[in-house]
Amino acid sequence: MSGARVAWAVLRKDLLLDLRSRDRAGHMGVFAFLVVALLSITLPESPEAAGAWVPALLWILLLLTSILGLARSFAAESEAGAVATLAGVACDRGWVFLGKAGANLIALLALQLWVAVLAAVFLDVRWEAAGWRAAAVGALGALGLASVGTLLAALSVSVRAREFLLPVLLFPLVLPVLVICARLTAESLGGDPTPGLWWGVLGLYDWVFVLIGYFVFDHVLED
Amino acid sequence: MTGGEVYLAAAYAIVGLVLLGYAIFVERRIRALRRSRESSREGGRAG
Amino acid sequence: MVSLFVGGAVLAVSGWLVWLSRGREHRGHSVAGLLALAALLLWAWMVAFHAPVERAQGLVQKIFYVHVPCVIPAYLGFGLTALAGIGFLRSRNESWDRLAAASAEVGVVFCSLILATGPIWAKPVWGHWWVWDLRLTSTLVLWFIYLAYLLLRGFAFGSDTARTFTAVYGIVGTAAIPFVYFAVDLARGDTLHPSNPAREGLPAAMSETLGAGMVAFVLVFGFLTARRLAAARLESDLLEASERSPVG
Repeated sequence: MSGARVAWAVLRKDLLLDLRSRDRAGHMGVFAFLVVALLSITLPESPEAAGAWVPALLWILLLLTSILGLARSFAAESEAGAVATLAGVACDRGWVFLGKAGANLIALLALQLWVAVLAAVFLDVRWEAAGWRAAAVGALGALGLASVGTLLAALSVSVRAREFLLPVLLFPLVLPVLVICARLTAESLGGDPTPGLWWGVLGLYDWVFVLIGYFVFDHVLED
Repeated sequence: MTGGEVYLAAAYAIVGLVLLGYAIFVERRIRALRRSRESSREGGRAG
Repeated sequence: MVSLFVGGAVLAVSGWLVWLSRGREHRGHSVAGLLALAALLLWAWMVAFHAPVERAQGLVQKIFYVHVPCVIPAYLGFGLTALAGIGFLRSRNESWDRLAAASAEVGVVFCSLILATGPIWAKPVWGHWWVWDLRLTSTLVLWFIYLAYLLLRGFAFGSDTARTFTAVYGIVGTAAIPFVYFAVDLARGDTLHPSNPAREGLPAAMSETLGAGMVAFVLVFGFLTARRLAAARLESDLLEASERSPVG
């Protein structure tokens, strides 16, 4: 099987599992809903005062919710004892990483859409002011979270206390994504110009960690 | 007395104590490991 | 001249550590220890008598000579961790893993010292223990990354898979450092922290004292890492022995 077909098969399998059981998506959706509701109740009522906080809070919410999904991202394989099957593919195992990260990326994008709708309804965020830039920030941020998150989820799957370990491993590493995305979201919501350098660094981050994941996964899935 | 001496002394004392403490910690670990290696060797001979 | 000495010490110490980690026997520890001790004594003398008391800050400024030299061993430790991680993934040789473990642990010790001495200087000079600026925040994040690395080591101990995972995290963590730096700069652009170029205008006595501190701390790093390596060697010997004879 060629590499791209392996990646596609892994991606398709993960998404089908999600669609059929709806466990993961359901948990993440409810969790995000709850947090947005809490935010809308807790934040100050004046929209100017709240507005300054919202982009950062939304990105932190995305990170926290994505942990729920990432922690389960290798659960199906490890419960069925099928991690070795993944490792046994007849191509570069980096493609397995691309498939897994792709599935997580699509799950994250769906989550972002959901959070965006919730934020528009409950937090009065006007996405139409931001336009395509908000979508681009979301996509680049999701790619960064998905690539680093998938790699670390694979690392922590066989470690005891992984529920505790995954956030500790992940948070400091994705801090750059969080900061840059929150800034870009705030600027584009305010209609301000967004510096090209920020976009460049965010894109570079995604590129570097997808590459590292691709090359390193060969070792991660060994034995 | 500006209180500067106190800060200065605190900074150097912390560095000194931490480095010394870490060195002692590592040495104790080495000694404990050596001891258990010796005892496991003797145990092996006896067995 | 000063940077020549410091660079030489960094290269010599990292070369020595890599060589030590590859060999079966551990030699030269006491020589390295004595060397480090001598350098520390020289540095302490220079801090006390050679470096002048700065006019604006007074004695507190002398914290500089212990705060800044901690930076090089911390980064050296994290650099060696990533390097040893790459070495392990390429060769599967356990000795690289021991080098990574030792240098990460000692690097975290020095990074903690940076974070401890900084606020002690900042309180009398800035009036605050901590401000969320570029240097402080990125150093804190760096510390978090390697603390997570040590935690991962602690939880996943012994197996070949565990060694692979920690090697991967060491590499990924180091790759993230420049991005962390950029992001924190973005979030906290205006910095209170004295910048590097400010150091170039130092009087000779000050930069000599600083250089002596850097060399001394690099040597201390080398000695501590070598001892930690010896401990790691003993640990894996014991582990091997217990695997051979499960009764013992």
